[in-house]
Amino acid sequence: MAEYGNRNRYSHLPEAVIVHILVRLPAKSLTRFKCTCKNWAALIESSYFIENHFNHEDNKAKLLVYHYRPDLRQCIFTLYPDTTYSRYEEPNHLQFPNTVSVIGPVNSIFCVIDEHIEGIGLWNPAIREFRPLPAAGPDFLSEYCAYMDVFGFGFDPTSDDYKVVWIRRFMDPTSRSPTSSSLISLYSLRGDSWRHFRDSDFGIVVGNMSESKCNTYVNGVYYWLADDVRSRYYILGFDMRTEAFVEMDVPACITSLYVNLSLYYGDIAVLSLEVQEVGKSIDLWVRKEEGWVKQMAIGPFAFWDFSWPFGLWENGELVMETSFSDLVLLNPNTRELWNLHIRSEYGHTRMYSYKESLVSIKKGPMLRAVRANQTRQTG
Amino acid sequence: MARKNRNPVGKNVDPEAQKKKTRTLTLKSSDGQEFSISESAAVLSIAIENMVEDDCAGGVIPLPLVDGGTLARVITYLNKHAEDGASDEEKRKFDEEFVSGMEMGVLFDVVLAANYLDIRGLLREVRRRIADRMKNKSVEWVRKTFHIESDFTPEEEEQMKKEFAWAWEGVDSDVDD
Repeated sequence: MAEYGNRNRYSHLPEAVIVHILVRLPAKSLTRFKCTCKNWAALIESSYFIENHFNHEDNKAKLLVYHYRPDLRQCIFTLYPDTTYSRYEEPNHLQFPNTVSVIGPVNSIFCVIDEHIEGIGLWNPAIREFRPLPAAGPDFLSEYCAYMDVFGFGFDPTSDDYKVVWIRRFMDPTSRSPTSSSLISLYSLRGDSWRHFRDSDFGIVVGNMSESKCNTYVNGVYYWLADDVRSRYYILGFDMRTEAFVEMDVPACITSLYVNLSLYYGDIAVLSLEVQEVGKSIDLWVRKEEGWVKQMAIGPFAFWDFSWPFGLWENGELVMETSFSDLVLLNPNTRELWNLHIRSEYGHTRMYSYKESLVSIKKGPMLRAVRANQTRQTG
Repeated sequence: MARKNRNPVGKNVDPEAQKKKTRTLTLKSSDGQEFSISESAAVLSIAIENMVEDDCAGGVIPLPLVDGGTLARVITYLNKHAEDGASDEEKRKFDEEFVSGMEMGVLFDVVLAANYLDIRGLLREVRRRIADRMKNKSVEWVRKTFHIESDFTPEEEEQMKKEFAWAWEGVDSDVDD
């Protein structure tokens, strides 16, 4: 344009080209560039852009591990920026000052529970947002001692809502044994409030159950491994859309005590550690429409020992803990093994698939106050 | 006019493809420079392929939105990608080197040309390179480079800088391009 004359040596780019450039930028740059002009701010905050940014081929999922670092006497997040796993980072914005339990992510949003369950929050580290949830209550529970706390976190696409489900069992103060009934509390981000139920309201009886060491939320359902009164494993799921529980048997032939849930290319999967005379092996079962399918048997490994499979990573690699408490990644097809150069101790270790997203979880973000009207972008 | 899927160049043995390799086209830049290019390389640009199909071939194809310097660069890219026997790995390496030496101003000209000529691979490569170069830049640099005037009040701008101070950490200086 004439007013710029030839002083600016950069050609004018059409808006469509600019959008395709911006969509490749990290969340930090985009947060800064919202300040460029109102048009850019509106673009970067639009759901269309947020979705395209999240799903862009350059926004690759990275392996993130939460683990205890003995020298710091603290748990930290370690991020592997590429698939060589030869270097790792411990970015400041991914750290918490105290030990936390973190589940998710769902659209890059995590649910964070502090060690003593005094606080629960939603967290999007890419845009440095943390949103504490209101106290769950109910108040009368203070005299009861917790026996079991299990969480689930997911997204309900039918109402565009993030939900946290908290399943609690208590010690009865008089009989000093676990209460027979469980309390199930459900938080919805849209309503920003908790609702409480008994397990019998859902027609289920909650026994012992646990969260997996990796994300087990898929297609609207969060899954846990549970065991029934006869100590047999089964899978319990909570459907975020219908707010109903679903139950599923594990493959009948699994007798191992070491079982973990994971995801395998978008299906729920069971990893079971089998101990044989020649060594340990891992069976991978995947839940398909027709039922359980034994995807592969990995091993047996005669020459090295491992104690626990944490879960599966993007291309079906296994993240496992060796008997020396080293964390390793194993490609079951090529048998290639990467040492992740971190230790897995004190049972805090969890793995995540981390991608940046611009999804905001705050009420009325600041920039909305200066929302763009459709004014010109000069040139 | 239906767009045909581009044929992968190289292992194709049908006579039409052979003809394309030997046939040459002339591309004419905005400043009147003429470039010869094999048809098989030229049609990696979907825009040119459409012009050829519309029977502009044989004559000179005018590209009034691309200057000579930029067109020469684009042709280098097209020739490499139409080369017989160039492996994917070789092309990937070429792409990386092709854009790595370019100044931001040149990248802008090339992205415009690739957009206009509809050369998907080149477009992707250049967009990625521009994003990579701008990710640590200041807001002021971005405004200058993209010809944008701020329509925020100084107070609004200050407010955002305060609110998202972490996003302003580690920003490069504006001195290099």
